[in-house]
Amino acid sequence: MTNKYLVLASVLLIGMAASGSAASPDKATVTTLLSFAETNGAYPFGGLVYNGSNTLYGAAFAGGKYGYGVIYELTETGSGTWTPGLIYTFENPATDGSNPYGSLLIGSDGQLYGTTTRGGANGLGAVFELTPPLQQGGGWTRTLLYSFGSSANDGVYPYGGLVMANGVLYGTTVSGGASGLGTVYSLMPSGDNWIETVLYSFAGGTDVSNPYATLTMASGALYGTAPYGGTNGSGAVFALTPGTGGSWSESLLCAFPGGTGGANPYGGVIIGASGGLYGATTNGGSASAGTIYRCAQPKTGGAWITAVLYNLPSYAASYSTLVTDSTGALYGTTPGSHGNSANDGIVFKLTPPTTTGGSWTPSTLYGFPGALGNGPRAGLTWGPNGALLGATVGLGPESIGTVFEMTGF
Amino acid sequence: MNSRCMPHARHILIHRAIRGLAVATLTALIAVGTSFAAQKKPGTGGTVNVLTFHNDQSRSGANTAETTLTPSNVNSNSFGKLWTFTADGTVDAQPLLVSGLNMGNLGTHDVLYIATENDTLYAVDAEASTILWQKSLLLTGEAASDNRGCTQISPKMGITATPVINLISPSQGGVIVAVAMSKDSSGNYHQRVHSLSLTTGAEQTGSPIAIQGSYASKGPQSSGGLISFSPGGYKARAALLLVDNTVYVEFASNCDTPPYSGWIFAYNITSMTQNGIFNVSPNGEDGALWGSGGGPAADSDGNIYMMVGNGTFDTTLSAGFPVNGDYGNSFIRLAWSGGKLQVADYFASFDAGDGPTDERVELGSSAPLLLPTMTDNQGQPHNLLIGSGKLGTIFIVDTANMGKYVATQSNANAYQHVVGSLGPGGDGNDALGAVRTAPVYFNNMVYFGPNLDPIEAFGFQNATMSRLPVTATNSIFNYPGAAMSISANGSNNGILWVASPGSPSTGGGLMAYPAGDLTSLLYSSNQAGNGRDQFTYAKFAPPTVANGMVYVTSGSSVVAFGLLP
Repeated sequence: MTNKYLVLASVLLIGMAASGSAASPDKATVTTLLSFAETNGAYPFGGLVYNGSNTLYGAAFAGGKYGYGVIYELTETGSGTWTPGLIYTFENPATDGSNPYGSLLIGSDGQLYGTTTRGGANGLGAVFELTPPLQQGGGWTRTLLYSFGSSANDGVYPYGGLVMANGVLYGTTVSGGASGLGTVYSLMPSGDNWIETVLYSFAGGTDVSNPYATLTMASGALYGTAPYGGTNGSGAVFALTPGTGGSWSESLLCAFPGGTGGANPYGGVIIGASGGLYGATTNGGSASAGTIYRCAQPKTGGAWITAVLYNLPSYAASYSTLVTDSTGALYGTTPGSHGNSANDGIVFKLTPPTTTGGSWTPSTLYGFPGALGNGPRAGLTWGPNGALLGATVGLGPESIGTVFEMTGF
Repeated sequence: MNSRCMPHARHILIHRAIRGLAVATLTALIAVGTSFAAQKKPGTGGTVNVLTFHNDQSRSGANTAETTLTPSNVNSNSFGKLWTFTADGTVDAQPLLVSGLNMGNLGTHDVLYIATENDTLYAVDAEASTILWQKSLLLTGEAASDNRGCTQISPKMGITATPVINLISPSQGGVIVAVAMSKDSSGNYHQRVHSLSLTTGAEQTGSPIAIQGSYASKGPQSSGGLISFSPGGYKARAALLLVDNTVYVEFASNCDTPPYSGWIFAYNITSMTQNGIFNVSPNGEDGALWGSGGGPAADSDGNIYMMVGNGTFDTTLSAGFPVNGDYGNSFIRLAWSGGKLQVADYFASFDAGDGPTDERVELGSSAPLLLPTMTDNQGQPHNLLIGSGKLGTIFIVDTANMGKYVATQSNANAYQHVVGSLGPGGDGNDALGAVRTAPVYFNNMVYFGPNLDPIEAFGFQNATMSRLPVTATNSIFNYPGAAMSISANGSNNGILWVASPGSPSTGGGLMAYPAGDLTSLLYSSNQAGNGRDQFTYAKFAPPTVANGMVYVTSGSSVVAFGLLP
């Protein structure tokens, strides 16, 4: 399908989406920018990244010519028109990696960094770099930076994306490590090579395990979530802080209590204006469908405290990392629901209280028509003109995903 | 209800165990054929039987008496589509096969049994695709059920569950047992067990028998202290299980439309009488049994193992068992005690109590697999049961002590559990790593084919499973994941056969891999030129492999593959 036809299909889909029956009146307009159709990718689990000028980048888990996934772009060509294109197709799992899940990272020179859950030399996942073409119309150059499972107790299966500080990449793996329960790793450039170091191996039990989310870095520390283990066995927000001699120490900041207090976070955390960490759990809460939480240390110091800001509606379960705006409002997505509910996921907004100690105000900005749980898994990205952009995993004409733009909220 | 085995009933269990062992041994021998199976010559009949879903009561999915198909001849040059048989309705059940069956005046045939959602059973020559007999299981004035407002099985619901065959011998015949759903002219729905002659399709004495019953309940669905089975509210989705002349029938909901609960019925197929009823969630709600088409497993002692869908699980225990007898989201072992089906043991994850509201924790999306006896590094033997559900966590439980429920959330009560190797899982069609097909076992490896994930094969050493796969496919498989079977000649020439969901343009069709190296693709129905072998596969029914042939369902058809002429 040519780009022209993709745009045309998108226009048609817009109409379909707008006429769909959402559970509540939509407060925003959603426009489909791209519908996946196997050859151009399938199942975009990861979110989008925006280069700040005119281009969005994303990874599709599967599809493409060889079925191992693609890296795609959407370029704004004026007056809100986005033109999709493929910039890389994963071809050989052993040398390319395969099946990217997490979001991409844009480097300082426009490179894209990402992870693949499978492939690499050991079939256990990889980290890659895509360097933009030197000349317009040229191809992007893929470099495999690291293949997981290359040494004993190495991490394997990276689902989260990457963060970078001082030229060093940081990420997580779901499995592997000394206990087989996941790791936090770094990749440091060394000449033409990249040196991987396992910074921490999760132990399970009272420690957490199996992190899926991309890390957040602030003041030299790494913050993340893991869905299992921890003090209450329901996952936790953790921090890794650097020590001397290259050592890192882990601490659990907020261990989820389960039940109405929330459990099992798969999305990452963001740092709010007040310094607290905000995120989503996929379980617990009043509807057993997850919560939106704040994990913060009291101004007086001491133990970090988890506060439930919002109980997600039945069958919602947000896997996304939230985004915020200048007012401190939080935005997120859910892929839910199962057949019992009306929507294939929602985009929600939480407006902060106007008074100290007040409640956050939730609103559903948009409900994706359908009822199979094919909505967005990843979080949203701010684009130009105050638009939010995201991807659904299983919507569209082929039911293998779309990229959408949300405006008017 | 007290769900434990009562001590005074132990002698009954022992008696049943002895009988069960003999029958199970015979059944296993019949199911996989004999080790001295000769090379089949086309047209002369084979020796392998596939009498139940995934070949045997342990649900290994393996035919280890395949002497024709090998990794060296399964390629698109020498192997491909031979014929397509079109039936009168959608084929959702795995085709079954009896070799060398004496059909009386029709002669001796390898017979393929095909069930449709239009409530028709076909006996088809497995090589020539000619119809030997066909039988409608509809009674006068009835039609196959509508879809009950649920598109999971649509547009009709008739025979959904894979039937089971009780073979006396190829010369003496036997019966095929199926469950048919229908609707009469008054709008009433029916579920019936049918027992038909393998050779003629004739209903056996007492057949069919209507599936009906009630169960003691104090729950929200009870009336007068009972909940009653409503035929229109359910479909027999999980494959039937035959143990010791008793067939076990599990029921699933229609798209989780309430009210429903988890029903298991047992029928003696000789007397065509109901042996027993069990409900896995009598005092709660939900807890359906569907298994993505997979069925309950049974060991040589006649114990029945099943994985329960999302539903009430009582986190309050009495002597280690759920206080109200609600077993949602758990592995259970059923045994006969005092003439009744009872839970003898169970395993539940720490999050089992989240059901029925959290559908991600359900185990009912797949089916259990009993592993051969394994010995640990202390020399202790273990009979292990393995399975996974929507979250993709692989659980292994020891059938001698399944672990019950422990709320401390570590899952240390399982014999072993592995998180993270099958993706994050979850509910919904796009839940990566959710297990929605039944695993298979061959040569010390278990194969899982999760939703949108590669097929991963895990090895065992000292009765412990590797945390990481020994081998995995490079490709992923569309919703709901890869439906698998194994063929091999003993421990040699192992091939993993995969029914890949979707149309050819999305990678759907039949694939074959060397069982020990899933990175090498031997064959794909999408490889040959001009779409020679292409077809669309939907879901659930695994390939049936026997006597050099591979049979795969495709809408209202069964497509047969084999060595090309």
